[in-house]
Formats: sequence, structure tokens, C-alpha cells
Amino acid sequence: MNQKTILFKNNLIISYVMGGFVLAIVGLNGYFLHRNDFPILAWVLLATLGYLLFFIRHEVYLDHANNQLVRRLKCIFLIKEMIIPLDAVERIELAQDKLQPRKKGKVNLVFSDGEAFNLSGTQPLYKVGRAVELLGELAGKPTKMLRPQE
Amino acid sequence: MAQHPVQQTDPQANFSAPPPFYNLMVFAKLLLPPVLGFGVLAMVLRYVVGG
Repeated sequence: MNQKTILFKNNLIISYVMGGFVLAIVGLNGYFLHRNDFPILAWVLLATLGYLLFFIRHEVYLDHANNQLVRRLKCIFLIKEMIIPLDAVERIELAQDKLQPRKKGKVNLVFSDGEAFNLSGTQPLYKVGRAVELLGELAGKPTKMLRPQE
Repeated sequence: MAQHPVQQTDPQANFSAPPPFYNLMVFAKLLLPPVLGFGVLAMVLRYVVGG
């Protein structure tokens, strides 16, 4: 029996290829920093971009042992961890994106006091429909699809 | 088994929706370490190789 089910996780191939490319260029540029007139501020910003691309880990998973939904943001060390007990969740609402109907937009967790919490943040997640179906199935909560207003 | 219903009802009574995930603190924690680190590294590099 597995202890956790991952609902969303960022793509490691993208982070390794893109972040590795940026970090390699930054490293070469740092090695030749005394020979060119590349501005140091731009070098620092490019290095920060590469660092974020390479090391950031963002995942939303279901912890079966403690019956809770965990959202975790890591960048070498833990930045933020948010824990939502599944017992407090009443139902799950899934809203469709207005412009692209195949893309699923916001995921709202509605709590027993009637307050909605946006799980996916400001950025709509692709493939979030499958994750929400899985979440509703595993947690035993009703899911509701909201159509955009015409 | 006697403790299970108590554990189930407790978060329902106390829990309210958390604040949004992203805030200023998260961005500060994400951005400040690499900016400071690479800034110091660039200064050290420039000092060592003498730019």
C-alpha cells in the first residue's frame, strides 16, 4: 500500500534541461568574467533564473496515513508547506478556462463553513481535471464542474 | 477505535480556509538566497581575477 498519491508535480526533464542550459552558460560567463564587459547585475539575474529553473520543486500530494492534502514548495531547502486536513473539505469545485475549454482552470476546495480555497493558485494547471477526479475518488468528496458564464 | 471519531470531528470544527499560498514571504525566501549568493560570488570573482 502506497503512503502518498502525487496529484501534481513539476516536470523534472524541463527543469534539468532548461535550468542546466542556463546554469552552464552562466558558469562559462563567470569563468570569463574578467575578459568581457558583461554587466554583473545581468549575470546575477541570469544565474538566479537558472537556479530557480533547476532547483525548484512544487508538488501537491495526498498523504494517506494522515488523511491530508499537502502542498509543498522546495528550492534546495523547504520554502513553504501547506497542510489541509481532508475532513475539513466539504466538496471540490473545478472551473473551466474561459478561452480554452479543454484546459481546466481553477480548483476550489469548499470547506464546511462555506469558504472556498483556490488550490491551483493564479496559474491554471494543465491536466488538473484528472488530478481532481483522482482526489475526489480517493478522498470520497463530491466534485462539481463549473461552466463559465456566457 | 474510540479515538477515531474525535480526530475526525476536531478539524471540521476548528479548521477554516488557509490564506493564499503565494505571498511576499515566499517570494523573498525564493529570490533572496540566490541573488545574495551569486552577487557575493560575482564580487569575489571580480576581486580574484581582477576585472
